[in-house]
Amino acid sequence: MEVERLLEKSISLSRITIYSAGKIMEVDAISECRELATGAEARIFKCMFFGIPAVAKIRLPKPFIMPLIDEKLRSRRTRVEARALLDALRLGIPVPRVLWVDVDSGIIIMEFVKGEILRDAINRSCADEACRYLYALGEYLAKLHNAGIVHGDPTTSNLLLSPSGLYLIDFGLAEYTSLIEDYAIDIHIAFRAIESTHFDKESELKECLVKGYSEHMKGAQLVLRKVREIRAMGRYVERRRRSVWGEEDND
Amino acid sequence: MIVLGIESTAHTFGVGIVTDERENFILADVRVKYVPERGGIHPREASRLFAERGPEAVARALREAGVGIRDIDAIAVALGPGMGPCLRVGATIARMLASYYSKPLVPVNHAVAHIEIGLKITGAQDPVVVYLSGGNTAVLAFVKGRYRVFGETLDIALGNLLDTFAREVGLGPPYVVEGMHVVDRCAATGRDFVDLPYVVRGQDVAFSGLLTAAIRAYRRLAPRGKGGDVCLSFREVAYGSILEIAARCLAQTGKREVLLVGGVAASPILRDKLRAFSEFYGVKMHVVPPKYAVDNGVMIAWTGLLAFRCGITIPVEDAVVRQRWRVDEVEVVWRSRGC
Repeated sequence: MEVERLLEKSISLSRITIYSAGKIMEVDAISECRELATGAEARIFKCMFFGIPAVAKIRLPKPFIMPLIDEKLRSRRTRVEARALLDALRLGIPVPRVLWVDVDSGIIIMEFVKGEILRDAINRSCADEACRYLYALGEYLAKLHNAGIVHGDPTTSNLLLSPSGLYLIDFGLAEYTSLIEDYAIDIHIAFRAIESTHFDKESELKECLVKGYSEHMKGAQLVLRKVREIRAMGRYVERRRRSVWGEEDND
Repeated sequence: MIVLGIESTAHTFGVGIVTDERENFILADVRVKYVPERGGIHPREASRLFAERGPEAVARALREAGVGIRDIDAIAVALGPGMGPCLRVGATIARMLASYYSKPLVPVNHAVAHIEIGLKITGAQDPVVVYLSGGNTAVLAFVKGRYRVFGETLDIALGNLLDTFAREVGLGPPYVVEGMHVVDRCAATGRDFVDLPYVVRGQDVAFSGLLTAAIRAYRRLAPRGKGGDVCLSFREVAYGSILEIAARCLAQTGKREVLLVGGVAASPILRDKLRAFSEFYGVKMHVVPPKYAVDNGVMIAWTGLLAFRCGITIPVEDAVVRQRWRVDEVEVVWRSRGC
């Protein structure tokens, strides 16, 4: 299979011999790949990586973007994603563990986490449960922001509900930054995901997120004020402040 | 049923007359276009032109359609979003027609009209909509009764970005020459990539940093004959980031079609990119033909007709313009209820 060859080439190894449980065994570096999803910027495969269930995320070249821009974006995002995943783990946030990174080919292999996407699971959960999940997202974002990391796409599609906890996945748009604006945009994106996919319980869920965030983030109020400013910048917002010069009350 | 629609949100005063009684649904399509001598749209000048030539445009549309005002079942008008002075001219004429001739008045959102005419003409069923124009940059999809905004620009719109860049570095106006934007023309001479900020945040784009950086780079590099490189990189970053958010919307909604609407849909370069994009993601591509991608009265009339069939009207005294009427405020009942 094409993907397996690609990954073997990246690892530059096809088989290894291991000694395990008193036996000598031959194990494929990569085997049993099947596609899990085609994301916006990467294809996601589930493979066995030296006998361990793993997820391979491959950023393929995009034919509709100038190759130089595409290459730069792909290698940078791969590198930052891997670093952010490692840092998040260090901060105690449940994220998949990174197993292999190949920046030039845009490949990350990480631990496979079995679970259900929160976006789907949330529709079956009761209000308290749903609130707990959003609270947790707020807490994760607070921890990341405190460490100068933004996730970049913290939506309910990027939370995985597994028996061992609520995992934050897809750090593909993560950035290292110290700007309050960047933290605010993270929150704004989370808000919008709630509004566009869970609009029937919009305000409750947003409140839970804010609670989790505020209780774990130094200077959360500053960030939240910035969020209001950013939201007033969207196209044709009726309640937009009339003047860009005057400092009027924050709604 | 025959509906007359009036568009006057920005640079075009358009009067369209449409019917649902035959395949060839457009009975009249009259446009009065304001072209600034220099710079961008001056709302006062545009609205003055509309006021001067609007009434005549209505008369011409009726003649073109071969119908009398008595045959018109409803008057549709774009009440927003757009420039206040321009909107008020169209709204005034529409209110006058409605009250003087006792016709139902139908409020139409300009952005919804761009989408509806796109769906009507291309036959797209349920696409991810990429709406690109001078004043708008958004990726939308029909979810639970509305065209919901999945991503948009956090600052300036794509058309505005391209035009402002062209103006600042002296490539325009005019901004479009022989169907191609001057930035695309300039980019055709470029080869190398100049580093410019690429800003995608979740599902949103932001262009103001790109604009500043591109203007600076152009001024620095154009004297060395590398202006084309800047145009090329500028355009690639701008289009690339929009297609990226469109891809995110596809991934999130699971829709299998993409529809390009709005004035910038006329760009042949963007069309080529969208084709490659659609093949890459395995989705069906639809692009509104340039004639109906730009602002026009037909799209207002058609959307008005769809709304009127569902009984949507507005009392004349309530038909005030709304410069900031967001697309996602509109309940698209004709699609959710099917009337």
